[in-house]
Amino acid sequence: MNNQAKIEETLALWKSHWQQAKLEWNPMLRLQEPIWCLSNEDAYKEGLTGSFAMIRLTDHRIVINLEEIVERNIIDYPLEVLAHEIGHHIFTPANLYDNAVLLNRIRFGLPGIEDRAPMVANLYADFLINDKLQRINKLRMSEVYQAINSEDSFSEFWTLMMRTYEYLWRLNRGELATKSSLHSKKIDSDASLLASLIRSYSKNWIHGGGRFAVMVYPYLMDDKKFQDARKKILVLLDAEDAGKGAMDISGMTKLDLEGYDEIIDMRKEAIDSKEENGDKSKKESLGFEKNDFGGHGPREGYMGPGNYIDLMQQANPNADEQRLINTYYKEIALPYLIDFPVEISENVSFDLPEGLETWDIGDAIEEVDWLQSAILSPELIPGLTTQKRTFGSDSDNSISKKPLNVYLGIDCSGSMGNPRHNFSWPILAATIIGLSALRAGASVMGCLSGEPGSYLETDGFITDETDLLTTLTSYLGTGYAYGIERLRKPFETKPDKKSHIVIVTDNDIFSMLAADTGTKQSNWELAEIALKNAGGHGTMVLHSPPDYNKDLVLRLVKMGWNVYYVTNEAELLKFAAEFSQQNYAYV
Amino acid sequence: MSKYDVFELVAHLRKCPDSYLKPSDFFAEDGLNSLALIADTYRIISNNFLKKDFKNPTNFDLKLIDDNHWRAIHISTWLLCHTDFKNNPQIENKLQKFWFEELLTTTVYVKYNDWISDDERAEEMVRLLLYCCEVMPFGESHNEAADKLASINSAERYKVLKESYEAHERIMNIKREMAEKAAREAANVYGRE
Repeated sequence: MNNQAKIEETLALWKSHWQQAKLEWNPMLRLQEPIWCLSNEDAYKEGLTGSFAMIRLTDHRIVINLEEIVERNIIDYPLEVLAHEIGHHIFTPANLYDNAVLLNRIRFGLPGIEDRAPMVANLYADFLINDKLQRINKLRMSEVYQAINSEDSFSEFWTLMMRTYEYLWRLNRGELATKSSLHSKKIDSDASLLASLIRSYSKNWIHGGGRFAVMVYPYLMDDKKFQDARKKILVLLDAEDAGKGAMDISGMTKLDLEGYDEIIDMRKEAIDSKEENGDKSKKESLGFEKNDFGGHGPREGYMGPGNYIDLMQQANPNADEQRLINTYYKEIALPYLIDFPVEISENVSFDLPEGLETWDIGDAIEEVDWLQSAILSPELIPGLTTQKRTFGSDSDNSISKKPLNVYLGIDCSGSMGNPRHNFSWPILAATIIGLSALRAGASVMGCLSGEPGSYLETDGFITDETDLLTTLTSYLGTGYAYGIERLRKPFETKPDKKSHIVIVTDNDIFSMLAADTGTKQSNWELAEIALKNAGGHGTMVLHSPPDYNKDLVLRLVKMGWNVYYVTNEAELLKFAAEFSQQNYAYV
Repeated sequence: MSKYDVFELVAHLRKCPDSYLKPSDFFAEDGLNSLALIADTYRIISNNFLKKDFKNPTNFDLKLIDDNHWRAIHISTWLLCHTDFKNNPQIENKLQKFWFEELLTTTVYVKYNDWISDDERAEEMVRLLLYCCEVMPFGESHNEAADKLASINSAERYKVLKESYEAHERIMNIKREMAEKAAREAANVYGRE
């Protein structure tokens, strides 16, 4: 039989097992039939490379490469393979959020080699699914491995995996871990612990990810060994890119403290329980990445931006970095968003034409609508064909509210950290104010400035959240201060709508104010004019000890600027919250 | 039903009633009468209910046995109640070695309740008993049985785990120190003026 005919035959066989495979999990399960790829090219187009099957959490599909299945001679295991893939959809990782949480916990357990987390997560999920299918559903999962395994596919890591299955399923040594030259007492001990881990966490699998990662860490820490092991087990990685192309996964910025506590080395647990030298209830977490100060951001409760981007790009390899950093600051800002300040304006009443009624003798003659009367009848009979217009009013007694626009100027000079690498309080504060304004219906202009050098600003006052966040979360790292010149464009003349100005900077702003502009107008004058034109609301947030440059601060205050001191960057959050309350809460 | 089927014996062991987990009367007044339990087990095994002489350590040695070891012995007497061991006089002489030598070695590393709650430890007790009694588990060759016992041996596993954990910790400490150093350097670069 030629290969194509065999593939066609395999397709028919595997299709006939689809319903049974679903029944292995749940008779009520509704899942689309797999995408059957008859060739490697078809599989490649679906994003399946390296393995013979994969899942996609984005569209809840399974992709099967039948050519690879024929080549690997696993034609006779349709139920096992299909049930396994279904398991990824409804057991583990099951959905994008749980997948991301698991990846995060596994990353905790792989300090320095976090790039290996998707592979480890995939293998961990495989253990859980396979153990259920072999022990409870009595499927022939061990035979699938026997079919796939070949002498040259073995590494120390793969021997550990296979020995673990042997422990789990009480198989004889060498039934799966066929390369006996790689067997060792160390692998046996670790495999026995891993088997007990898989059994213990089969119901709460998300809590076992950290321990699993710590257990396999020594086998993956060496780059060469890892690359070697990865090449050999690529064929089994069916859920590594399960989240590819996914939408944003929210709720991942917060530090997973529960996950940290579960980064426990089971070897140490086993040793400690024998030595009885510790309080058993107080298990020591390795907490590799947990520093003494906890996390980043408000209440030190968030992961760092770099770590967040890395994690989310593992959950979704197609994720755009800029989009992720926008989401990162937005998520942290969300609890602090409030309704933005509004301006009270007097209502103007207008008369609006509403309809027609008959003009009768006794009504004012000027009320006659001659045109409508003539349209009704060419002969004018007062009180019969004469028409008059009725009017309604649009005025009411409610107060209409108009939010103020806001201009956010952020010092992005060399003294400012890159918000992509390190958590940035100024960017969080700007995000809180900016998003609050957008939420209230105002427009926002954002400007990063590190001058002399460069600046980056939005195209005037905008209402697009993505554009605003993209500007705010960019980085310049040039010059020494915020450039006052940047106020010229929006405020040289009075804008159509009143605006608040918020500038976040430090003491270097006074050097900028005093700098030679090369024109008749000094920066001091420009700052004063801009404030007046903006509408009189201006706040200069200074990262400086109070009373520093007292005279110059006084000069700003006399111009009408509010000066807000922060002595550490965390106070910027307090400012962002107080800003709205103090200036606009009375409205 | 196959005789000396490991999984069946494990299933039996894991059904051990709570009353067998009580401390010995060597340690608590209301504890189990350990010597009576051992005597009864000998009688069941030998199928001689009038038997009065048993191979036990001296009273002095019995008092040296710790609580964890006694409870493991209690649990093992439940295992020996299984029909596979009843009326089996040829293993009678092997039990002393099992209770007072082999179990003594492993109880250093295994808490008494793990013999029931942990699948692998339950299997270890079953295999250890069969090994001491020179009985081959059902369906296994001599080599297979020896390998399986060796691969779940608590004492051996403890030794290996300790070595590999200590080696791993050394590496992790170096990595941690390097990471802290890198973080300090990064903080200096990005820190505000």
